[in-house]
Amino acid sequence: MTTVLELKQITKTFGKGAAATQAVQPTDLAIAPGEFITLTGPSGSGKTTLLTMMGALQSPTSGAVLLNGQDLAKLSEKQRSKVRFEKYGFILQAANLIPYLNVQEQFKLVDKLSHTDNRAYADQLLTSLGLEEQRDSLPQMLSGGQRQRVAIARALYQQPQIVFADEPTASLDSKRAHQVVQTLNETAKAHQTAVVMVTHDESLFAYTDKVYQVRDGQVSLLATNH
Amino acid sequence: MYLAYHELKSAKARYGLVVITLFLVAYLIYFLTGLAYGLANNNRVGVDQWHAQRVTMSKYADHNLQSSTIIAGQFDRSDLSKNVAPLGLLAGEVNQKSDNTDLDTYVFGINFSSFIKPQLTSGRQARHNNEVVVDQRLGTGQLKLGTKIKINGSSTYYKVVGLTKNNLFGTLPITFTTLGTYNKLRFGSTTVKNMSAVVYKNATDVVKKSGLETTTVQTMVENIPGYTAQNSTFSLMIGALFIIVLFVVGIFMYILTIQNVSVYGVMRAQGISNGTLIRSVLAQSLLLGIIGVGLGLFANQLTVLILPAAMPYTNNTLLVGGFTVGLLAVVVLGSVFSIKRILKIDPLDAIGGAA
Repeated sequence: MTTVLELKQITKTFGKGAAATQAVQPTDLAIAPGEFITLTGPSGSGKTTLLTMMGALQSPTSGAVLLNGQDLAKLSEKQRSKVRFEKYGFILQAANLIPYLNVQEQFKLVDKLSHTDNRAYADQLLTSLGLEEQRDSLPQMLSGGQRQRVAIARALYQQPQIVFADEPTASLDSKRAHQVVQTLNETAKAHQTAVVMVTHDESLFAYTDKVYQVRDGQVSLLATNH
Repeated sequence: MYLAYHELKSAKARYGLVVITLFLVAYLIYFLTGLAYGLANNNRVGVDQWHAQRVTMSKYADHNLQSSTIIAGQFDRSDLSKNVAPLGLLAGEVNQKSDNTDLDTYVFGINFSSFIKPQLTSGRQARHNNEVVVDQRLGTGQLKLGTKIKINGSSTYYKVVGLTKNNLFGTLPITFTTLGTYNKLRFGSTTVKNMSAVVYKNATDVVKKSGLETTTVQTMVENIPGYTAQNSTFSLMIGALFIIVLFVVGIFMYILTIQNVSVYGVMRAQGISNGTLIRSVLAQSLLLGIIGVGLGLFANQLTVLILPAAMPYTNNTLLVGGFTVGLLAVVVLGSVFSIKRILKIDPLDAIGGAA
């Protein structure tokens, strides 16, 4: 099995000396291309910390996060920023979109920054997510579900290897939540993009390949679908 | 630029306020500069027309032309020439024969064949003691060739034989008389051979005499009563306005940046570089600056058309250009606070807490 992202004995400790708390216990994890995994667990269990370490937003205290075999901690902050821009997609709880850009301008900005023009791909993504009518709308004019679907399109726009989704359905009702995660799953599968999702919502586990339970910084495999 | 433009477009009202503030302050700067330069110019333009390098005055005058008197024995007449010119200065009032209105003037008693003789716009130079050349602004153009005037209540009339322009000293139009007439007006007789100063076209022409002191024309101008005080007042006001611009733009951009911190956090998480965000803020400041300062410049040009001619308002291209560049620089400098804030943004904050 090939892996995109591999965690090797990573730990995260906050604070020093007696006040130190170990947010993540030594963890190994491997994610295959196109694999959809879920991290679940109570608040403060360390799942978001895990996500941010995989997402190159912070480095582990020990151990290594390998993206295509490359240790992220060995990159400069600028290079990590580039990894996030080119290889990763992010879907956050809310406020994923730039408030003063309309839907198609969100994509145009990415084109400008990467000196490319993938307008046709943006249109294709938006159409497949049922957003072709919303292309000229500002984020504030969209419903919560529409906003998260735009965020999915935005996260997938650069054909990343992995999409990180931090409670992407937190602000949605359950019907919308299912639609959004189902769409995320289908679209990611279609593009062979791996997804790491953090969620509390057990009803969403069915859409994912593997579910990991995080408790007191310990990661254990809870369920495997298929 | 793309981000900057769309953000400006989305909050037109907010950014409009900054533009208006910038416009008003820029306009005030240009207006004060025009006045300051105009006033300074009106103090000295008559002297600038000499293109002289040195002036000799009496030592006790302390570089103030108005208090200087060089008496006959102090400077040999034989040392005077075309390029070493005598000058008598006297504050005066001019009356027309037909009109009792007093017109303020400075009398310049000169040798009409020396290099400091005025450039004429019409008529000729004075040849006799009873002839004068006046700046056409004296009496706002009422004085014409052939007009007869009294100076300082003199019993004799002096005939205007020549007109000149841009010959002002201490903001007043100059009346050029012969050195004899100057001595008559000041010391009672044309036979007195006193003068206020000797003006040298070249520094190499200077003749040293005891009791006299030689200085540059610039030093003499700076010692025109009020000239330096006036200039420093204006400079202070203009300097203060630059600082106001710095803070207005700085505080405003900072507030807008703080409002955008969460958006910037998300963008940083998405891998959009600090450089992109900083360029965006700089582009915004510069864009606001160009619009605001541009409007100020435009209003300044309109002002020139509207102001009455008597207003000492002169636009100096170099000053206006320099202040325009300076204003834009200060506007961009104002976004430094914002840039420092942006550099502190942690993309982790975008992901609901680190723990």
